[in-house]
Amino acid sequence: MPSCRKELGLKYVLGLSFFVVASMPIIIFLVLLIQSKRAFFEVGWGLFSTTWFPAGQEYGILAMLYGSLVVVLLALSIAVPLALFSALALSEFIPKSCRLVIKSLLEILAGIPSIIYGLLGVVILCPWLEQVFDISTGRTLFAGGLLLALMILPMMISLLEDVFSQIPNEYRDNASSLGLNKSQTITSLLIPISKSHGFNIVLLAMSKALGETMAVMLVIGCVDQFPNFWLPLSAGQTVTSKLGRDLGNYSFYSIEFSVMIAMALILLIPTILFGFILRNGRDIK
Amino acid sequence: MNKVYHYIICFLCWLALAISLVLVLGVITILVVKGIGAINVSFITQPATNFGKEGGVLYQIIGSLLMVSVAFLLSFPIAIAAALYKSEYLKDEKWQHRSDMLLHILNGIPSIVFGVFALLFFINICGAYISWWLGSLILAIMMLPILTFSSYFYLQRLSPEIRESCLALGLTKGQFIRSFLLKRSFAGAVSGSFLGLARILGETAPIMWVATIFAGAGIPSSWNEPVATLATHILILAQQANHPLAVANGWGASLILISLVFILAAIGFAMRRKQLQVQ
Repeated sequence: MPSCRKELGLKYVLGLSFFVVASMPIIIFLVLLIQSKRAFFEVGWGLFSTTWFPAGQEYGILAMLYGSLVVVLLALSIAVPLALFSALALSEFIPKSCRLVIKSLLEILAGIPSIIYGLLGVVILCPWLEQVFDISTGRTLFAGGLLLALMILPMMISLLEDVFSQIPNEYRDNASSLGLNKSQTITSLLIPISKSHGFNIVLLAMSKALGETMAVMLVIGCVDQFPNFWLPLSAGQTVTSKLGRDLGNYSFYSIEFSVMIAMALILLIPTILFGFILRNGRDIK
Repeated sequence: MNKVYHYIICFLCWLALAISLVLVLGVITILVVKGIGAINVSFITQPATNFGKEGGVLYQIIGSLLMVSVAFLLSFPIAIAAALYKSEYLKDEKWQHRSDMLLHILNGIPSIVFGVFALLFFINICGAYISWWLGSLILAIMMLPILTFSSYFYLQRLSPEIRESCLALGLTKGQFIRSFLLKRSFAGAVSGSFLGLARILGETAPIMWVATIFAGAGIPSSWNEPVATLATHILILAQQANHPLAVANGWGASLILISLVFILAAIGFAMRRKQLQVQ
């Protein structure tokens, strides 16, 4: 029957498209995995050394991992408290009309491409840091952390505020009829209720910060060595900035290229973990 | 004691809000003021010269728009079809969860990883030349999850009465999809695609190795030609940050890019709000 064939044909066409979309992350993962095979087999544990010196057969990526870790922790330790208290102020103390204006400003800021944050960092943040700390160059791990904090702040405030304002008003009324004032309501009601959502938001911000390339690459200084001074006020390198700066310089099929692919694979791990944690079909922005 | 505690919490909230607002307004003011100072008619209508330090950004605007529009054309039909399949044929709960997860993962992959993948897959494995359509292709892949989800959620909001009455009229599933659902998934994907376009318009990392060159790009006359985009242009200018002319042009290009992103996002949000009101 022709109409039956038409039905089946439609189903197969739609199914094929669906298969293409759903298999894309798997294809990306497999291509990266296959291409980084050399790094794992030929360098092996040598990946976990602190020196990156391809001419001397040393392919340690610890310096980049350390840079990423420092930058992300710095950004989170600045942005999380700031975002938490700002979101509380927005949802509890600010009238609704004002809140909408501020939230749309935050949305604008969250939509600015990262390369523009990079320009801001290079032109304004780094010279400012040079003056404040009296150092020769502002392009440091610290600058990367500050810039990342600025980049994830609007998104975090906006999402946290959504969580707080979705808590029904009856809860607040009950709390106040029990004699709790506003700050007690905040610490003993609102924060405990939104703990798990808040945790997810912090994870999301963390994976955003970890994968951020252009802005970090411009302000981090791009020096492939383990910072010999424990303070983050020295130039460094993150996994993303190393990839962005140097991937184009190495030839295909060389070991250093393969190691770089392995670093890109490492960047995928938090994304995949996050996909497992957040698999309930929530709308994505 | 309670009172002191109360004041401390209130003080912290207001302080944090004040700091955040100063940062937000500061960033917006800097971008707008410095950007307007650099933009004039010739900045938009002239090509760039001397590595962007002189001239305008005409070719960069054209390159950006060309690349994202082709990306949109590539990813739109696939996303609609995938959303229709996910909503109408994929009834297994387990596979629904798995596909949700895969789409979330695809949406969360850092943009630099897309760049690495594009370089590996297109240039190294497939042997393609650096050209603008590779950029469109990788950006289309980046857009897929946003479009698919947006189309899928709009399909899910369809009231069961409509579905039942269509089937009661004797339509087969295929006829129902072709005559009714296709239009609806289209509408859902359009609002999502504006948001997706707003996101990919500012991307630099995925395209900088496979689709763009840093100087001398014009309007492409064939498939196999690299272009320059606004985002990669800002990257070049930011790398010459000690040169005042480069910085000024960087602010100008940034403001143009932000305006384009903002217009696309505003259309997308307005359309989505309208769709949320209609059943």
